[in-house]
Amino acid sequence: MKKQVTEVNRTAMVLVLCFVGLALIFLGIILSISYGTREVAGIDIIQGLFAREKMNIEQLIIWDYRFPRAISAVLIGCFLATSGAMMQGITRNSLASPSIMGVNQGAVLAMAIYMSSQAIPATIVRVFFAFIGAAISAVFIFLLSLRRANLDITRMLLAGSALGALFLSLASMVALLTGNSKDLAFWMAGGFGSVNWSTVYLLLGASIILPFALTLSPKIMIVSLGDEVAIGLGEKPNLIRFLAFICIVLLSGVAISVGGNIGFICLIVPHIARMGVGVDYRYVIPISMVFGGVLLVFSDVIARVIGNTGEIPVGSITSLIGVPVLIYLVRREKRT
Amino acid sequence: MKRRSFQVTMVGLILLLLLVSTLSFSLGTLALSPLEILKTLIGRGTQQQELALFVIRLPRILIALLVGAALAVSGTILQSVVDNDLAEPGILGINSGAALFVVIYIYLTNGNNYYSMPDFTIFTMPFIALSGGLVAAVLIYGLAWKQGMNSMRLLLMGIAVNVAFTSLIIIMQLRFNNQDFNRVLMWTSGSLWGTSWIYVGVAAPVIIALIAITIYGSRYLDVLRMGEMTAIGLGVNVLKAQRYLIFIAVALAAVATSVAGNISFVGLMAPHISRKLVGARHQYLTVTAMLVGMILVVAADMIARNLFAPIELFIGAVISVIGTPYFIYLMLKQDHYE
Repeated sequence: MKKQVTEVNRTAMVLVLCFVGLALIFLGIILSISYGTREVAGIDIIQGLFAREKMNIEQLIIWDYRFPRAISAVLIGCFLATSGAMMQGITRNSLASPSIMGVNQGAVLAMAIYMSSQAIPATIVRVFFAFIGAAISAVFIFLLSLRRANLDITRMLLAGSALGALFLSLASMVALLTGNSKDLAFWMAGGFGSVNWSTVYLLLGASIILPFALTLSPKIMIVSLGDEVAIGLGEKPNLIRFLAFICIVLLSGVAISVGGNIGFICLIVPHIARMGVGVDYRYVIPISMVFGGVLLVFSDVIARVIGNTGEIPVGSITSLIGVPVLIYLVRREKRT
Repeated sequence: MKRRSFQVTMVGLILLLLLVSTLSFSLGTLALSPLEILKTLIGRGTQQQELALFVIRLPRILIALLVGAALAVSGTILQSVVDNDLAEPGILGINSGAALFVVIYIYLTNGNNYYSMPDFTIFTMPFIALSGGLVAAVLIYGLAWKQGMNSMRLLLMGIAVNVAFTSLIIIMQLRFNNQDFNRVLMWTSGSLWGTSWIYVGVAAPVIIALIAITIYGSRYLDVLRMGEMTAIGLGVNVLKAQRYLIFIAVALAAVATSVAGNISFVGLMAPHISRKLVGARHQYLTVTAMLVGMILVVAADMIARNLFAPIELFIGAVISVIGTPYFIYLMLKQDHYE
């Protein structure tokens, strides 16, 4: 009886969190739209979003720049946090995340190579390259986790972060050779400079992966209990890992191809979600989806407020928020 | 390790170093044959050759030698004190701490104009770098301390602090002029571009003095490597010796960073290769690591300058192409033993 009560409580908690998260996203989008070098009045916001004919410059700014930017921030944050939550589930460790393990940086390198070889880079091909780059790092981590089942997470993290550093320095080398290092450097640090409506459609299209991630979440929950348990319950843990890795590669690939290397969202958000609803990945994954969007849309606003005229890359902001969380998690870890 | 075979190794390494340095002297926009180099050195070259050699290449190669030696010795000390072969000033975040302080210092004293940096700024840079390195070291040490020290936790803290410092450097970088951007990028990626005699004059005395102290203190490093208990048994004040040696390691890495930017992995590879060559006794190890570090940096600088000339690569990136696989290999091997 008592168990049922906690179950009801938890469902209520999840619903409340989702509701709060969505409200925060709405607030974040409004803030993101109204803040900028040019102040925009409330009436212009509404007209900018809904008027069929854009009358003045404020309304155009909103429709062409700020609104796509806010939507992209929400979606990218959602993708990154989801991929982080999935990775933490299948590796059974709260420190694992695509940005620390070199997946993001792999995507950045592959895109840097493509973009510097093309005069007019096509968005779709860029995404494809991001997938390849993300997949290379993910396969490396996957193999590492298969070959040494008892490889502790500390070493996996060290290997991943060394790999990530290498990919970033190779990317900056490519940028230097092709003479567009400042453009690419900004992009390597993560930002929404290249966002427009076509990238928003791309992100919206890629949202099809999210339901898959949700369907997979009960399975990930079982894998997170350990391989023995999973096999005992009739699941194939390595198959689930493989499917999850595909989702992770697709989600991070799309997110990175639009927003650049935005780190630590995938580490922090699942952690916040776990604090709210416990280690049950059936709930952690959807909550991460919502709060990933919240965190990134607010980080973007912060980056613009602090940067004032010269914009600060949003990736630097998320890193600075994320590092204390990483430090806390490392200190908490018993095995290290 | 016999004294004899140590001597053979030393001779081999010195010859290799001479070979690499000569190659580095001769390659470049103006190619010089070894004979022309000699001629120029005794003052009988053309004006153009003299310019290439004395004004551009000689100070640059001297800086490469100094930086290589400093990073390698710093890595040797850290690996022994921390008692982990993966410890290294770049990975631990000491270099990026130094780099961050230097970038902020240049920004504050010089505005966003990098090129017209006064000599005073260059002379004070190593001290600023040192304070940055010390701040990083204290931060990492403090964060990793949890009822005692654990080398893996120390490394992870290093990575975390490194990320934070690098983000701050990127934020600072974007405040500099567009034209200066590539120049400032060297603080995150490492480069010897634009080094001149004044940098040699600043870095050489400090680095040489610190390395001399380290070689003199080799016995302490040997004892510390044997473990804390043994060291106490042999009458060493472990905590004091550790702090003193860490200070030297941080100072070496910081001075190297102040002239060359953040170069990782030299401090990792050089001691490890040297341990394979001459064993673990620091009397031999420190000197060998110094030579190996010099060879690595001079060779990497040569590649960085000439591979895609006239565009120059970042030396830090060149080294990390070799260094990263080496690091991962070392790590997996260490895992195997435990």
